[in-house]
Amino acid sequence: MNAEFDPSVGTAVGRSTPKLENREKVTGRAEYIDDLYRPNMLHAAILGSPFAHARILSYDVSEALAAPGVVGVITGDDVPAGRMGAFIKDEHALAKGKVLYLGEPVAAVAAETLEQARAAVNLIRVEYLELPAVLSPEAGLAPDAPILHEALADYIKVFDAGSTGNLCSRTELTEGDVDAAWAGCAVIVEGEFTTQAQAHVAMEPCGALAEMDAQGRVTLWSANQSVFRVQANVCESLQLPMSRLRSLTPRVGGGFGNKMEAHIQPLTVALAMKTGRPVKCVLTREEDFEIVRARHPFRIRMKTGADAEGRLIARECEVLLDCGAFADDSPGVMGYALLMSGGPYRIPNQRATGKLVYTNKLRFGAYRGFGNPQVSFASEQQIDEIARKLSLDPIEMRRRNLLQPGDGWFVGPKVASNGLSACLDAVEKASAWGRKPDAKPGTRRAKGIALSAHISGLLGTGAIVRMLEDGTISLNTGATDIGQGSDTALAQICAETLKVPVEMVSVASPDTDGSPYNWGTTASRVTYTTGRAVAGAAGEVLRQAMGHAAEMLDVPVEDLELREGGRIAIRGSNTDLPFAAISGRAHWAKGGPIVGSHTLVFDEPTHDPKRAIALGLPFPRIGVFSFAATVVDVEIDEVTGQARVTEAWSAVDVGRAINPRLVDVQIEGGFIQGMGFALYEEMVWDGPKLANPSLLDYKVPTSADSPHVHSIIVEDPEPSGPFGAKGAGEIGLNPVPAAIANAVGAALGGVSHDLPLTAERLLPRIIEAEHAA
Amino acid sequence: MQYLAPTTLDDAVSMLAAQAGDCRVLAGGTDLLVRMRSGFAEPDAVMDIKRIGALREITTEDGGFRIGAAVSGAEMAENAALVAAWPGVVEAAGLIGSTQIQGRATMAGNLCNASPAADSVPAMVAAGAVARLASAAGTRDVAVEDIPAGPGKTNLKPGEFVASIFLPARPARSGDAYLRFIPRTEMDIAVVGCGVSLTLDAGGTCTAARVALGAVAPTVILVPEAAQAIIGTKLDDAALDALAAACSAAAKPIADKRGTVEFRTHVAGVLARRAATIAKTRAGEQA
Repeated sequence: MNAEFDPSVGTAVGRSTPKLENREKVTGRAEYIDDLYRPNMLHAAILGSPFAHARILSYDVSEALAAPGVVGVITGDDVPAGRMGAFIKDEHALAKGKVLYLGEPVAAVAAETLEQARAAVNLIRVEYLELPAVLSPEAGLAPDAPILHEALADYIKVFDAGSTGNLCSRTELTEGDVDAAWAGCAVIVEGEFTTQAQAHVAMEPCGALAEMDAQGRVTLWSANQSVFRVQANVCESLQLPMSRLRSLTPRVGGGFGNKMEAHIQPLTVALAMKTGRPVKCVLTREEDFEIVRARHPFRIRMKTGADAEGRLIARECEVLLDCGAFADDSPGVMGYALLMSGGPYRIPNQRATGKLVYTNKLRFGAYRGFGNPQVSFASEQQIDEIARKLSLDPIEMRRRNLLQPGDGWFVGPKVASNGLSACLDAVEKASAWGRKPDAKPGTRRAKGIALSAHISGLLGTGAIVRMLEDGTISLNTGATDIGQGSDTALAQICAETLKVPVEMVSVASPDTDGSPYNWGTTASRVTYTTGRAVAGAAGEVLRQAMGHAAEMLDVPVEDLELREGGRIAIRGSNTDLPFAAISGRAHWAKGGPIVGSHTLVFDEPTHDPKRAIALGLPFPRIGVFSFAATVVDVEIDEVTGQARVTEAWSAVDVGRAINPRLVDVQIEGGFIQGMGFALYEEMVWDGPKLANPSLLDYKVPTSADSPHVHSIIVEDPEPSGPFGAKGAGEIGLNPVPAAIANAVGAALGGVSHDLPLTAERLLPRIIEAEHAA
Repeated sequence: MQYLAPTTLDDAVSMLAAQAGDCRVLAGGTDLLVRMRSGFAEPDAVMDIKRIGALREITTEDGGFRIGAAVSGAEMAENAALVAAWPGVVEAAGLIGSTQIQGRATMAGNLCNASPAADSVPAMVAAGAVARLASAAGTRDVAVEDIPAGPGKTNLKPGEFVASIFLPARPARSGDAYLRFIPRTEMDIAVVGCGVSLTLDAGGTCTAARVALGAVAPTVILVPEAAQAIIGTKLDDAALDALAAACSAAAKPIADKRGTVEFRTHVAGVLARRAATIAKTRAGEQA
């Protein structure tokens, strides 16, 4: 039993209920993809391309097929011509005709043991014609650049992408008159910024297990952030009707965006269909770095102008994104980054334009923050730069420009709840902002601040709530809990609506056969978007239960009320009925079992044509904004240049914290991941080859690197949210690189143009400052 | 693949001598097993030396310490006398990997893995440590700095393995220290490492010193010019500047994904300065 829950004290929402599956995880009983076995199961290994760009001329798999234990081999010739992709359908299940990045899967082997599969994969002979490779977006746009996707014009696109040559997509957003506005600015700052590729490094690498039944229907378990996106991607690439594929999920060991779109599910299904036997394929850590996806490197040119009082007048942002070999979520990342490029400020004149360019590298895609940390790194530093020029305190500068309650967002989304000002006040006070930190001898030390906003409403979702015979509750949403605790939060919303203890609610594992559609556990959307569906479905169950109770007690429904513990009572009386009695009647006597369902698609427009011009906007309907303010205290070693965050304060407006402890850990985890991005995480390529695909050379923060992060929850209820809740998944990461860069700027002077802020980068700035002084 | 598990040193040397193919010595296994698992090493045989009692002990000898080749970093840290005499060496060994790795990883293994960035090696070289090599022909003692031949290569002869490492007796007013630069705070590979060991006279003047650098050359290097820069001084700022300059001059690093030439050269001097200062403080505390 949950020690923290005492039904006599209060309700489910707003309590730090421990995660429902904690016991399973701490006792090692949780099953992840690699823990699953099926009778007669085969193991798979993948052959990666040795070239970044080449035509595949021929395959010879005879030697591999003859190798011990090998049951089946697939190459591009064995998969249909279908293409998948969230925005632009440009990717096959397995390379066909061409390879577009080094390491791209070109063939796979299924064998009795993993060792046999790995040995056999090296016996596959592939003849290639190597082509010149495009290794940067700049090179991709050159007039004579080799073209990656010759058939780009024919690909299915879900928005006006403007694709041509190696240009995957372009987006242009304009509000006001930027060009005219510069003349009215007293201060203008301008700069170029670059950010690096960051790997997700979820604790669990990607994996899949597929099995075909006698009817030819496939069951697929995989590490994922959406069983429905898995189903869509597999079926699009392998040209299967969706009803032929059932997608399930075991426990998932973290995602951060890496497991949202397809990884190796399509090729695993292809192997299972080819061999007729269950096949499991789990990536090694190195493969997880090399063949899945990563955070986009950005090149950002930004210009910002303000009047003499520091009021922002104009902002221009131009981004160039490395897409990698396939579009994946890239058009969305770029469009979203541009939408967020003004930050949570009132800026009457804004223009944001971007180009996304195919290169012969690993695809880049969704990663916690979705382009927001990159543009915030530039934007928030320019706010500080203007403040310095006007001798304004960075907090005062921000306060003069905050997006106010009632203001809409750049381009058009409505903003209802807005706790930004409260977030700023909270971190100012908690961090004792006005007090300058003492630097130890040989160190520079300063505080830095950054603000951020992030959406949580988009796309479709549903929930089914059933009252079981004994009055307990079954909740089924199709939302994969990737470790962040959404099962718990959704159970709390369900329990709160029905006034039952959380322990009375069971949460079904996502299953495309039995769960209602859910676009995915991504974009900070589950608590808000799916939470709304849960509250709606539980509300429907309550409505039906009330109807039964009214008949059973022979009173009008209006005279009834719901009481704690799942009882329906006559107002002002002790007469009541437990859910068990009501559900028993429904199951056995009258009305039929109580099932409530609710589905929705977020339908508030992104773009208000009266307000702005938008070209190539990849997501027409998003909204509901969470807000954050983050302060960091950074210490820099004067002789090595090494920067460390000594303490951090992060205030986040989540509307209403359904489970405060789970919100805290999102803030803390987001902070640490953002700090890794700011200080040392970087995927490095040696020509076309990823040079550091291992935990030895790719540095993620350890607990010893993590400072004390003071998480502060601010609650400005969202009218449309379940119990007022908004998202919390990404917002804690967004402002971190910018806040650290601002602290570095305060300590050393100047602007940080390039991430990460390694000792190698900071040392010359210290030496320069010393020479100047 | 054959797994050998001798229980005496004599058995070990004869087993190793009898192996025609590639036989690797297994101590903690924190390098070897990882290499085997990832396919970089495919030995014909593995000889586990952890069952040889003599190689699992730390014994005193001529006022110094003999550390068996199968003694883990965690076991070293629990030996109070060793920690008191050679805090820098123990700390360096204690930087290898995580707490779990510490229960397995050995200094002899760290030495024979022959990484230029090995943490315990600059500390051992500064300490003047001597490795005892065993083979069917008997034993021979070799200075630790002469064991690595290049990245991943040693000067050990076929049939020979490191049985123990000897840290000599400490004169009064001696101290040592090891520092490394890593991008993070723990569980990382040195971008530069520096070990310093020194002895002061009653007046605080340095009478003897050894300085070693890691990750700035194909092997860990002893830097006699750096030692000369502080011998005869009280480690004042001018002496420390000279020490730092000598270390930066001796550093001949490569630029790779872990660091640039300029940065490594600069940091070699910075670390030497800091390590020497710590060693000096420790020597003073011993007085």
